Amino acid sequence: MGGPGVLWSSPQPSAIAAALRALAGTYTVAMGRPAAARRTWLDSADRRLYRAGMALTATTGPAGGPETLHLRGPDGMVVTAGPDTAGWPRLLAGLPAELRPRLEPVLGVRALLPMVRVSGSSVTGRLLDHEGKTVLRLVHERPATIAGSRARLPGGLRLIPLRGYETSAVRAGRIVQDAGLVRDDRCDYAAALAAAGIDPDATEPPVLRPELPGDVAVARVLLSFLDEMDTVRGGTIDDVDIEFLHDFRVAVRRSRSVVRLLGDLLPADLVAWVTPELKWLGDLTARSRDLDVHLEEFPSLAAGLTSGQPEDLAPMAVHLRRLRASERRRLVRGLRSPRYARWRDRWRTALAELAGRDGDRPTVQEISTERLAGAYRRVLRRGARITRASPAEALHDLRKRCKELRYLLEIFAPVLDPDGARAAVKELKTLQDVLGRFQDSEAQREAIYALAAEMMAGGDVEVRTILAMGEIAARQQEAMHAARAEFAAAFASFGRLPVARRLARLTPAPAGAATPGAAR
Amino acid sequence: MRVVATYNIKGGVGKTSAAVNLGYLAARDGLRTLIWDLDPQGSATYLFRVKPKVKGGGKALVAGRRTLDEAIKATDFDRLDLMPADFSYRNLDLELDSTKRPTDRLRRLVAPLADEYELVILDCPPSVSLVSENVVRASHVLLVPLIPAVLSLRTFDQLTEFVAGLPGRTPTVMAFLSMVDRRKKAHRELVERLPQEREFVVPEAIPYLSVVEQMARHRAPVPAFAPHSPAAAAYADLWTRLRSGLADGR
Repeated sequence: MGGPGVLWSSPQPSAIAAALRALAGTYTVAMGRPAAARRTWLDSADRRLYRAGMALTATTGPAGGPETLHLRGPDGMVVTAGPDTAGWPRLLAGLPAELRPRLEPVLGVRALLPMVRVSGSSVTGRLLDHEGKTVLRLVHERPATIAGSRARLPGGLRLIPLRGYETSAVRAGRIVQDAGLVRDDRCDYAAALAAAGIDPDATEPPVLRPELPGDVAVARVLLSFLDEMDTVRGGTIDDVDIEFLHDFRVAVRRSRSVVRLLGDLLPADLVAWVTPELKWLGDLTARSRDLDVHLEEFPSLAAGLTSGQPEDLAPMAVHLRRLRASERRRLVRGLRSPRYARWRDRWRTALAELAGRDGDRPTVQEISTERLAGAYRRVLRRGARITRASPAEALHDLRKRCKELRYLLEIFAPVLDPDGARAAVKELKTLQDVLGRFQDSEAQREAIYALAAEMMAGGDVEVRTILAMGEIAARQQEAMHAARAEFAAAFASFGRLPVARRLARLTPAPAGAATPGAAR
Repeated sequence: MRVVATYNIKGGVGKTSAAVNLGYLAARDGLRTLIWDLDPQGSATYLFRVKPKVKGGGKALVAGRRTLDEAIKATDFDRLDLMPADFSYRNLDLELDSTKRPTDRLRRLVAPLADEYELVILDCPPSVSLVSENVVRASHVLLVPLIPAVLSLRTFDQLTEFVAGLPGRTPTVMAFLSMVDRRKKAHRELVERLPQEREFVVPEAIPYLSVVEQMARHRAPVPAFAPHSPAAAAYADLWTRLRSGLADGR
């Protein structure tokens, strides 16, 4: 229960021995034998544990074998589990029961993956008082080798305080400091990431600069989406967790929107070639993603039944899993196909060539205003046409236009006024939420009908399953009506500003201009 | 969090040895464990090399001026902490008597530790007193060491009557034979007979062996300094029994 303690280190290899000698002047120092170990820091692909101030390690002997897991929470509390042999990556459901309650709110649907692996040795020891009582634990961590790299994780002397003996920890800290060691307040996970050359806090530089020619800017943006697809393709194929496919689809969808909205800045033959290819990728991934969402929402849908019982829906879950397995095979075939490889190579080559061009053409700054104005006008025009009698398709179409506007606001963000852009996205998001709920509920309802029809056609489905599915469909219908009822007010709120005012809000103040209130 | 009290009206029957060894085994098994040495003699505190001193003494604890949290000490073993004894615990009866709900105070003192510990073992002084009543109310299991003697059984009967006579929720009583000398026929017979005759007596017994006495010399639990000894095996069996009793909600 002592927590991870504090690491004291020094670039001088002899400093640790000197510190131990200095400690021996006040305490009895009892050191054990060196023990070799392999340690792996685990996290989700988007490093959710790191961002939550947590660290999870799996430690095993030098020859491998069962692992002991240590999860340190942001409060410093350490939970230990193991021996564990299930391997990585792994989803929350496959983790030891002791860890799940702490990881669930942070990890969600994401899997844990090895982030940094190190091999090294350490010596554990204790400081004893005159009664022979342990008052502090020590770990002499020797520099460790980082797997797959020549880098080393620097070692040090870790002082782990014991409950009720905090003064000894303070005193020992002073002694090792006087002996030349320096306190390293980074958590061990941050130190391991840094040693492996990973900067988890790094922010990507903006893809766009205001002075870039429009075609160059568009090519750069599309290249960044292709980079994202490259990053998550492996995890999508391996089905590490459902967010890989989600991220892949977002990159595809954004690419399609950029080609549609800004494709006139690119060579026409390139747009003519890539448009059906991106549609193919969209179609290839859509059904798998829908099934992921259905399965993810399944427990809450089942738990919400009022007339039926959750177990009534079990055949539906089985059917969904079967469909998913089949769809995933199609998805993986597509992502591994020669067509995908050819598309990816040609697309990257073409975009890289465009991104390197120079010349005197309209800049991003000039283009952004005109394109945003067009996107705003489309949203306002189509939204204003929607009445109580409008078909659902009119709202779906408006949702697409809103998404396009959102993408443009995000893409052009580096050339817009930050506060104005933030406010514009926030305002748009409120409308998008209503439209999203409306369309998602309708899509869910239709999906339930389709699933029920498939299951009935396949025979061997019980009436209570169909009735329970009917109850879910009815609930989706209610959600759809509720969202539809909210639409008018949401759009009225969104549509109150004319386009010109909106654009003025997004235009950055000229360099050197005084900020409001600065003259006071 | 489950609370176990090692308790007997008689002294010198192996309460502290049971508390220390079972606490050690529980922690080794992965349970975050606290032993509270309630005996002013402070034997468990001595065995863990901790100073028998609690700031403000039992009075401050009972009065709520200090919490257990402030006084708990880590032992030399992972996951095992100790709430030390203090000589002022000899007056604990008086301190408890001056509170509003004198029989429930110990339970309320332990309750805030529920997030931190999975098992709390109360090592109790030998007596029938207000402290005993508090211990009974705070515990899920009353673990009673019995020495294999007729008088000891008589005392045990008094104890079960005392527990049964208390109002409200009462703990499960789990008794085991302690200090069993296998060379004595009477002891061997009792080990055979008693678990069958008495509902509360479990078959696991702790032998009378010098290694148990050596705990005071080593100042450590038996399984820590003599892991392969018959005594360590006997405590391990008893821990297995207790653990399953705790899991069953006994």
